[in-house]
Amino acid sequence: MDRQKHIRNFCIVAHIDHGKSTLADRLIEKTGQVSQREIKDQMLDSMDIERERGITIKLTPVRMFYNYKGEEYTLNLIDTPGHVDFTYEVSRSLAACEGAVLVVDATQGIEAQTLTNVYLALDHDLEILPVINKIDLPSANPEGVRKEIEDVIGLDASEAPLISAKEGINIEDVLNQIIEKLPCPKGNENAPLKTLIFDSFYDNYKGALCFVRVVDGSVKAGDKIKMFSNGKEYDVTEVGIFNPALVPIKELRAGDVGYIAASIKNVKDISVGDTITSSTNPIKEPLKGYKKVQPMVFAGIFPLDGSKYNDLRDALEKLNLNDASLDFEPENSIALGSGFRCGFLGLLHMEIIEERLEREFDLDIITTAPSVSYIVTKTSGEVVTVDNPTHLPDPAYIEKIEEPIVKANIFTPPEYVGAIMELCQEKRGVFLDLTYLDTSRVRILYSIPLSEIVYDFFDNLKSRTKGYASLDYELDGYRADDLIKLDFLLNGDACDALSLIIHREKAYGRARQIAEKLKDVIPRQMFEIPIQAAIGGKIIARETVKALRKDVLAKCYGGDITRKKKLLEKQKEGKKRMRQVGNVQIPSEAFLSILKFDNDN
Amino acid sequence: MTTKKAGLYIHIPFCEKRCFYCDFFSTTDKNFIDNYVRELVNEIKSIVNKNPDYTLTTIYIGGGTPSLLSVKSLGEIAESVYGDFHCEIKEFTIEVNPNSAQNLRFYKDFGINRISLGVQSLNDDILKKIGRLHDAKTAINALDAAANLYENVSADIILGIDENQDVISDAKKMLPYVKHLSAYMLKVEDGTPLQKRLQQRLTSVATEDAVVNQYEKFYKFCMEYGIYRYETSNFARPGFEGKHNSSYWDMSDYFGIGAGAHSFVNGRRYYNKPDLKSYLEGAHSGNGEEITEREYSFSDTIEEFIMLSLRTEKGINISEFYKRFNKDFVAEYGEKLKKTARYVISENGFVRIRPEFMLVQNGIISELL
Repeated sequence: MDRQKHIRNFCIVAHIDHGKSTLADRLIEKTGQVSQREIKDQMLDSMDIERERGITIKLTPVRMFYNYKGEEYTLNLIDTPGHVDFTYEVSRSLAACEGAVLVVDATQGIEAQTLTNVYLALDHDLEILPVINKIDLPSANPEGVRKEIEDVIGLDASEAPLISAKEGINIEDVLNQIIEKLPCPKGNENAPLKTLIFDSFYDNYKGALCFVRVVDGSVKAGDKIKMFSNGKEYDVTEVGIFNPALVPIKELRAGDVGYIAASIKNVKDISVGDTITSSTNPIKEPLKGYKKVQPMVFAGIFPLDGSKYNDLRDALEKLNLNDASLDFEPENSIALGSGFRCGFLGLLHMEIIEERLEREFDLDIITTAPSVSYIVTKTSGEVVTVDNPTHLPDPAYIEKIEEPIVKANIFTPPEYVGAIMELCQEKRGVFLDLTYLDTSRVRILYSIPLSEIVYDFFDNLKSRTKGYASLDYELDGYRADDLIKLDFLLNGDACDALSLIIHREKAYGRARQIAEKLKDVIPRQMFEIPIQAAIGGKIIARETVKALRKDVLAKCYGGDITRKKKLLEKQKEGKKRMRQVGNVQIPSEAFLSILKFDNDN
Repeated sequence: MTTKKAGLYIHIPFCEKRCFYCDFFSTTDKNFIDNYVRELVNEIKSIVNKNPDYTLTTIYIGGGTPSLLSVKSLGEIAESVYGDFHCEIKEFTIEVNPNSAQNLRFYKDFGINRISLGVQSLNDDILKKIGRLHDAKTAINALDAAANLYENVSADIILGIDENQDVISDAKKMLPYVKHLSAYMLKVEDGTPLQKRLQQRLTSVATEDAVVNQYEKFYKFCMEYGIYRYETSNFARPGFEGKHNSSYWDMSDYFGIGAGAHSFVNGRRYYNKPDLKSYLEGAHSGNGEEITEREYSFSDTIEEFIMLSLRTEKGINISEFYKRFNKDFVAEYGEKLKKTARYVISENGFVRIRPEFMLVQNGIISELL
């Protein structure tokens, strides 16, 4: 028990940009875990995208040592993602900890995700240590923020360290309070092995690794372990800790955070939230796990060049190794050919996957407009889930369509309340609550369809509030509404890749907008192409791409035909990148520009 | 030994002033004309030495502005051609600028039997807009003079310079003098003064729809007056089709001499560097310094034959195709012909683009290739 008194397992939670990763860097640096020379900004954000966007996607644990009042302590920091899409991953980290450091920006105060994270931490019975960051900035108001934490969250913030992670001010204060205020683990080392898997990782040399928090007992190389969920047994080949690189050690014991390697071939064999126990001396009851995360946003991803289908599949499989939350299955589109229907945690997750496919795998892709998952009750009484507009049953057989609703939590300075409420109304929001936290901050609660959030809500919110408002949301059930499928026909043939499910009242505006855009991007062809937007058999918008009238090089002067030849070769080459809808040819690039979000409407 | 027939193109790159739309190789520096003519003579000599088995059937002197050459210079060139090549000349054309048409009557002496006048327009504003030095009156005078001296006169007209260009009025005025009209649709080429002026919004040109409307009006007018289209941009009274230019479409051999001139000889395409200085230093086909962009494969040649033939009204000559490539065109391209059936007619041994689709030929051709 004395050993565990010298261990603290904690995470850092914060609203995006409040300085979570920078504080993590400072803690690592102060405890001497990584030499100054090795420090890149944001140590724990190992992906390029994470560093560039200043966000954490994948959680990374690290073990630190700190000498406090002459005694050495082991601090296990489990980093957490800071974006709403990854709330699920946050809760995984929290389950492995006893305490959480809550970072609040002294210039901004409490924001939407501050609150979400606090509630998550409280759900997991964690002790919360508030820390006020960015006190070096001229606009910092640490005392105001201290009061806000006490008033809004109800935490005692009287001793909250006032720090600047960037400047390295008062970092020891944080370390000291982690030891003083956060509880130590209280497992039983001699009990049978009971271990929580909080993440998995695929290592090219060691295979699939379990990131674990040992609750009771101990585990070392040579032990036989068993996964509680499926009963599969493995021989442990190595156990170790994170510094943050993987460092093998002899044994992991109750209270420790580390990894277990056991010749597991595929991360899919590791179910995050599962309990590992000993094969020889198993426990009876598993730890409370997590439910499998459900994707919220769906889209088709297709290779721009149809022949790259296999490359795309390989890339998605590789990404899936370390991102179990990514779902995908083959999809065939008449317009876009073979690709994949993918499920994402949210829009950011989707953007990140797109970006990684393009950057890490050098693929050119077309992504269809994001959709959500609808619950459709047919007249026969059968209930189906539809996340792809093309799969929506014929309207004649639909009794009702329910769509996912979120509870949107918006924090804003009071002057934008009007603009935000207007936006929420436009987005079919239902007002729930409005609270003045203090004179400078309002919390607005709306119930809004997820599909509206997914369309362009966030960008709109940011632009209408000059970037001051913050948003967080959580799924809050389903609600039936007058939803219809909007189709686009080119020369009479439906272009499946463009279909979308939308509220009837919004269909007209969007139909016109997309039809106009189509008219701009579809090149003139030998014949006139009517573009029609239709709800069922009813045409609600129409544009026309006029027939091509001139496609000729008039001059072949002095026998110089090289130019003509080159042009024809270019045209021939261009055909390869064309998609065919009926007898209409559309360059793949045209789809890209249609399907790209229109953020400025 | 003189069994093969060929055409000869002679490029004269000198101009009084460059037109705003022109991106062909030309220069306003006329000090080098004498040296240039000397080098043309050298190139002719060397070509004949290398290709002794050719008989010339057409000659075309183009530019630039060939009518800037003195009668003496032209004489030197003609003398060299007749002296070195074996000739059975059916057509000998010279391009004449209305502004420098004073020597028309002397050209007969060199065997020139066809005059191509660069009229472009008979509207003074439009002529000014594209930087031409002549006006409508000068052009009519030149047409009149040419028609009095030569039976076979052609005029060039450029469509699409202006949204409201009255091409029919121009065509009507030219009609009494000409047997042949070339109608080019203005194309704004990169790096031309016209492009710059457009970018600076100092001028405007016709929209695509307007150009096509002008072309279609022009086409209708010509058909009514018995001037038939035989190639995308070329119209003639029966029997007055340009023989030299036709050799481009039907893939006959032609030699091109002078700076920047293109040749097609024995299945090989090459050209001289479009640069006066290096030409004067002897960098040309006569000395083996021509530029060949790439080797033509068998299928390249077939594709070229198709694309060039389809520029013409009569289209692909199936028996000629078989003679050249030992392939049955209809069998070989049956599938593609079916796909393009709306735009292509196959009859009487020819496959051709339907007249109404002539201006959208590129898409059809690339579908067929």
